[in-house]
Amino acid sequence: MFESQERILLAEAFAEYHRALNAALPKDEDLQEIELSDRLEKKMSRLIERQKHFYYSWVNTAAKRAACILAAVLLATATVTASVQSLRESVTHFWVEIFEEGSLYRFFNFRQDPSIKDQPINVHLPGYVPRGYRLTEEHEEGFFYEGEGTKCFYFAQYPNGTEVYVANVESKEISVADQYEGVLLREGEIRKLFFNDGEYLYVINGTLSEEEIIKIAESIPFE
Amino acid sequence: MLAFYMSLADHPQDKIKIEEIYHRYKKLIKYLALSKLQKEDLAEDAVHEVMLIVINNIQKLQSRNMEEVKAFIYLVTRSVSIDMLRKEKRREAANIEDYPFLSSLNEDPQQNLGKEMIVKCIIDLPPIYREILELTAYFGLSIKECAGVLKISQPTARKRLERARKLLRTALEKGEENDV
Repeated sequence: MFESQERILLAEAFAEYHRALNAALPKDEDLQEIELSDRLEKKMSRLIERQKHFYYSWVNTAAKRAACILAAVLLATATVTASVQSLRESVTHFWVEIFEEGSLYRFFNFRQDPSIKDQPINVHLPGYVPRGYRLTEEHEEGFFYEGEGTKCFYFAQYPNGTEVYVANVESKEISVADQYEGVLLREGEIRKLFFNDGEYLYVINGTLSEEEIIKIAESIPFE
Repeated sequence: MLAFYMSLADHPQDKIKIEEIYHRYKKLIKYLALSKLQKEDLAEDAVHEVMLIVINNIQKLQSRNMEEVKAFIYLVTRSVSIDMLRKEKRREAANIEDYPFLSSLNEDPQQNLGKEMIVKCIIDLPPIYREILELTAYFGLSIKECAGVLKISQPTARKRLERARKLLRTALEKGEENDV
């Protein structure tokens, strides 16, 4: 917007202007009679407390709050289906809330008992591992596979109802095994796939081609 | 429930600074808003709006001292107050010019020399042009961020900045001619 010399001159000039401005503005002692109502002080306390929380950036504008409310309303009006199979097919879903700096994906199965998410996970490791990769590390959070050089990927499995927030990157919706809705993200060489089979959220993340990541996903022994 | 964040986490010092700014300048914000809006409840709404803008731009203010933040507060409060008046369809009654206490800033006859001349020209700019220059050149906001602070569209913000630079350049050239 500005050439560097112009910016420097303007910045110095504004600094001088600010000194003069602040000298002309009322001092604290001149503002003794200004009172703020209890209503405002409470409102401001709530605002300051809210912005301390990690989710503030998700709800800090009217549009974002409207998106959250819409998601909640849609969730509340979901209908019951008859069989487990049709249950998975019709209600396994993710909601996307779009914010300025990223998107919030919520993967859940409406019909599943919320208490189930606290039960131990029955891990379903993928049957397919691309050539040159091997499992090198496993822990509670997931499984780490390494390939040649800096190539690697990560597989993780999470309980029903997990949320994932991602910054704005290239993304598209895909179908895994022609039945499970997922989201495939890409940032440079890194791809990340999220999808839900009705029981768990699966995440595969690494230096993989689209073909490889989908093949890994489809080799998971779903129940 | 697990939540992954690929975006940068907010810094704890941002939150402390916001609290400090509010407690230090809440009366000033209300005073400035009241002098434009003339209504207590609107002035208090303006305080809330101003703080929302401060929170949204806190990263730009983090490295600024409190006197610089005070200048930002002044700019934003004026902008918010005028926007509220506009929404109340009271624009014809709104004094969209500067606050009265600024009129004395350019009375110093020594202000026609060097940097002081630039300052004088900045003060003489219509407030809407001075504000956009201040936000971009001093506080480092982008056009999009300026549009958010000033409650205008991005094309309007861009045009205002172009006009502001042109006006300032003209004023400086005139000032140099007078010196010669």
